[in-house]
Amino acid sequence: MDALLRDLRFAIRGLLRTPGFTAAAVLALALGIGATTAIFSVVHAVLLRSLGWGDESRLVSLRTDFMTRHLVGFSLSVPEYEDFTAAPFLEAAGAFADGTAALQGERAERVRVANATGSFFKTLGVQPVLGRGFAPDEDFKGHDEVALLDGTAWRRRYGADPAVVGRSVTLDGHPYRIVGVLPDSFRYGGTREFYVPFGFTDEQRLKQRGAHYLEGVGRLRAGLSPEAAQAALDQLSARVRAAHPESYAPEQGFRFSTAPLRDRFVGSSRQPLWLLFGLVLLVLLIACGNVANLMLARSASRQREFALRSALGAGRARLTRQLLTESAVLAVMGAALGVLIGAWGLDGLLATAPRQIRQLADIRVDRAVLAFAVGVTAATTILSGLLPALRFSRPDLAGSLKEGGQTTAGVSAGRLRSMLVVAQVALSLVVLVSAGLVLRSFASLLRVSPGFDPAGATAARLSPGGPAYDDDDSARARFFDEALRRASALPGVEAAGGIDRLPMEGNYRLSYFIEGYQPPSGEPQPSDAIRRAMPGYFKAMRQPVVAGREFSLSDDARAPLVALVNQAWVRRYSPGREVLGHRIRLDTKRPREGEWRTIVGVVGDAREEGLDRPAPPVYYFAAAQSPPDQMTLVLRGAVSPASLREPLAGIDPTQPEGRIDLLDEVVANSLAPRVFPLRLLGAFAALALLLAAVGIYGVTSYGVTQRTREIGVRIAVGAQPGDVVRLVMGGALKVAGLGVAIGLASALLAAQVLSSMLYGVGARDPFTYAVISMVLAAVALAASYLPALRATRVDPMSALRAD
Amino acid sequence: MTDTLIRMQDIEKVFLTDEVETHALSNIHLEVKKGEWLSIVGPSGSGKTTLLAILGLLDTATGGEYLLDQRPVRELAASDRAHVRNRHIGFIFQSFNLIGDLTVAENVELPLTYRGLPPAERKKRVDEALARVGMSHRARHMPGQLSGGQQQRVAVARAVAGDPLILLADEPTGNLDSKNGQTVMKLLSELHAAGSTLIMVTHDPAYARLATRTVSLFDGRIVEESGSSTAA
Repeated sequence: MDALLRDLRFAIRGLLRTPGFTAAAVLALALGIGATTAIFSVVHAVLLRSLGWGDESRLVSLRTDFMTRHLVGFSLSVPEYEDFTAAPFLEAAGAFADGTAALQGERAERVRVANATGSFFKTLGVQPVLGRGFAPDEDFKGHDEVALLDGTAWRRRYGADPAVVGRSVTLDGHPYRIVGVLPDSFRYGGTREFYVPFGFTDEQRLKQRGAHYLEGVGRLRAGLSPEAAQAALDQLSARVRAAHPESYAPEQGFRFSTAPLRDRFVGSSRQPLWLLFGLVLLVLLIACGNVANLMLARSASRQREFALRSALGAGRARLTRQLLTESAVLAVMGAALGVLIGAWGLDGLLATAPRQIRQLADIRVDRAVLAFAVGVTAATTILSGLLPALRFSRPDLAGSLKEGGQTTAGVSAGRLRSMLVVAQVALSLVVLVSAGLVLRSFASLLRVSPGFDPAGATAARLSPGGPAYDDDDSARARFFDEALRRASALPGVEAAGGIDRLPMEGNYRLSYFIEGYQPPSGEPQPSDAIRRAMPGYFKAMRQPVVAGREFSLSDDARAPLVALVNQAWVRRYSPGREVLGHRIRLDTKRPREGEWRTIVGVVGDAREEGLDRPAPPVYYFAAAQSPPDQMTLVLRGAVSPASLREPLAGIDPTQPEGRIDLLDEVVANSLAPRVFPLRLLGAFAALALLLAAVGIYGVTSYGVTQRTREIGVRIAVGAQPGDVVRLVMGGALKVAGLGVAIGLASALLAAQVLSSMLYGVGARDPFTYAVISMVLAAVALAASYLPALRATRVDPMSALRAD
Repeated sequence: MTDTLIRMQDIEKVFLTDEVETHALSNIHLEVKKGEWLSIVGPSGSGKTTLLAILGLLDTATGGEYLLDQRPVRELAASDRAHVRNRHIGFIFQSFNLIGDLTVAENVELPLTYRGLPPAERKKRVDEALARVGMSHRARHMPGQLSGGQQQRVAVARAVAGDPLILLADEPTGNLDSKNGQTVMKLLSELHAAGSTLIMVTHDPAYARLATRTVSLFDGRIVEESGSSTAA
């Protein structure tokens, strides 16, 4: 222990004596550990940390699959949810549906509200901290005017007043009595202010097997093997299909399925997060390489000291321990600064993260992250300290203790350092190629036309709710018409229209029939994205009408029913044939909705599901003939969001303001999941490049110092400055070239993981690989230029002075 | 036409350190004729190496005039000085100064490379130079594989390969045992006998006596000159 303390004291004293070396090493480690810690915080919170609802292996999402429609992981209808609640392989099952509602008070406000069954909270094991949960009968209409308050909303909105239980709140015009307050920590992929029952009706329970809108969650019985669970699920699917053949025609390929509940939150983030974590570990390795290199250089200059210690009796283990202690002190200092950088960087990271990741979990530097940082520190100590320790713990006593040598260079330490830089360059290339491919992919996406003109248009959301609108199609239609009339009258508006769901804001599919169209054998009737549009919408979007006409004011509720389709629809169902005049109708028995509608126009394709997905078939109904629950007005022209608020708010003061965005923000939002990894990769690439450049500079500079005599000899025998520059920069280029060669092979393998994240560019894109290789070569040249310049100034007298 | 290769007039070298002037050389007058072998002797710190560095254009005098082959060198740019060193001067260092990463042949070839000679010419000259010092059989060895005496013979080969006007040797036997020292001195004698002009710094009076002329330095001044300035 005493020896260890002595080593520690000596290490600290030595590091303080060389502040430049210490600062460089600590900074490199801090940046590497900081970036790693920040990313691990996200990985841990999203992918590793317990969901906090007990045994996670038993928690599953309850889903329906319609295999022939390629609908996998679909939501549940009320009868399907009840099928699950009765299934013996589940210990508990609940239902949930996300949404918003108008909170009526002094001023109407739109808040996040979710519908949930009482069993939803029981399934997750969540107990209210105040009051009670929902009783079983409160799931049903007539007993459903109760609400649970989110813990955070309780503090913010009610000042944590315990008397809140029993108070009334009005949501979408309906009164609810608050019966309980949920814990602060409860979040189900985000927070909501209120949870209210669904208020299932008998009709929904008995007749609406086709109305899928519930998100099911279940807890498997303890001890149930995955095989037994699957068998029970298959049994349930077969039984339900047999009992309700009218709802589940064989050609639909219906079945029930489950998936780990965590997948519901993680979704498509899993792969990018692991990828980012892998790449940040590479950056950490590069940083370790830098520190190892610095330590090798420092140790090389201490050879006489080690030889002296060895001559005085220090064994190899003793010297190794001394060097590893120094490495550990550096790693601890780097880790302390790194965790601070990580915690600070995490805020910035989350600010750019997609909503899915931000809302998922409480992402922070917690005990687990700190434990990870400690592990990283230990690994860093070994990675950066072991090589110098092994290299210099066996000093050449005779050689080191006498001055001078006969030839100009000892090469083994230099080679070791060069190999480290080769590794750094190779790892940097992997990170840079990854960033380059993702950047190229993003650039490809930006070149994709969305099918409309997002610049210079504004989108305003309208969601009238409450007793005055819920069951009154004409009231909603009047609300939308009035909103469009007021918005159109604003100065600067060139065109205005509306649609229930903008492109890139999710799809809603309904089954329908096409007159004269028979689906291929074994396939169900078409089920495609449906939109309800108001007159002027396509003009406002600058989405072309390629045949026929768009909706007009005359397409009102009393007029003959009309529809539009897009070009993808024509290609799918009527290629090369005239579609105008053909008819379609919804697969529903509702009187007006289920009637035939005549196709009066074909519009251009819009990238409905994002720029990276092909345009799907879409059919459009006139909003006046099929009023939706919500509407988004699109206004083209110089209209500021602020100027829209007042005229829209005046339509019905009980309704809250809807969100108003610029249309190009809608496109930008759809790209957000790609921007997040792109920014991070960019930062990692910059860091990797910087560390590699520092590594190359360090090795070259050190090499020049070590080779001063050799360079002096070369100059003495007639080398011109250009010869010396070529010698030094050529050496750096050789090291970088070897690193690039190894890196290219590694990157080709690593990039395969990226394939699914790329668009419009292959994982083996030669352009990216070539440019990155050239960038690294240029960085190697730039990093070696200053040492090369210094080398040209070596005094040839050094050749004599060495004598 | 004259056979004077080197003429130094009132050469002075002053080092300025912390505002203190140190006169390393003062009032040096020296002439060396073609084919002459001059040895420079003197105690440590007398200025021998500084004088050799100025003679070899590794350093510049702070005063006086230095004509090498009748051309003044004072105003030469660094690249011109490198050019002159490469073509007209061959160096033999006390510590041999072979480059550890290069083979024996590559070390000898180095100044020829900087001269821009074609590969075939370089090879011919390297082979000849190594043959002159009896090291042809070690051409592919690395310097670390050679004894001190062998390394110095390779260094001599490197110095003569370019067929310079003058060979400058700084304590060429300083790092060698007496047997190897004698071998190297025999080699230098042979070179001189074959017509080479040599200027050698040495501590050893016995070796100094092999030269045709000896100048003694003390405190940066020539205090004694012996022998005649005639070529071999």
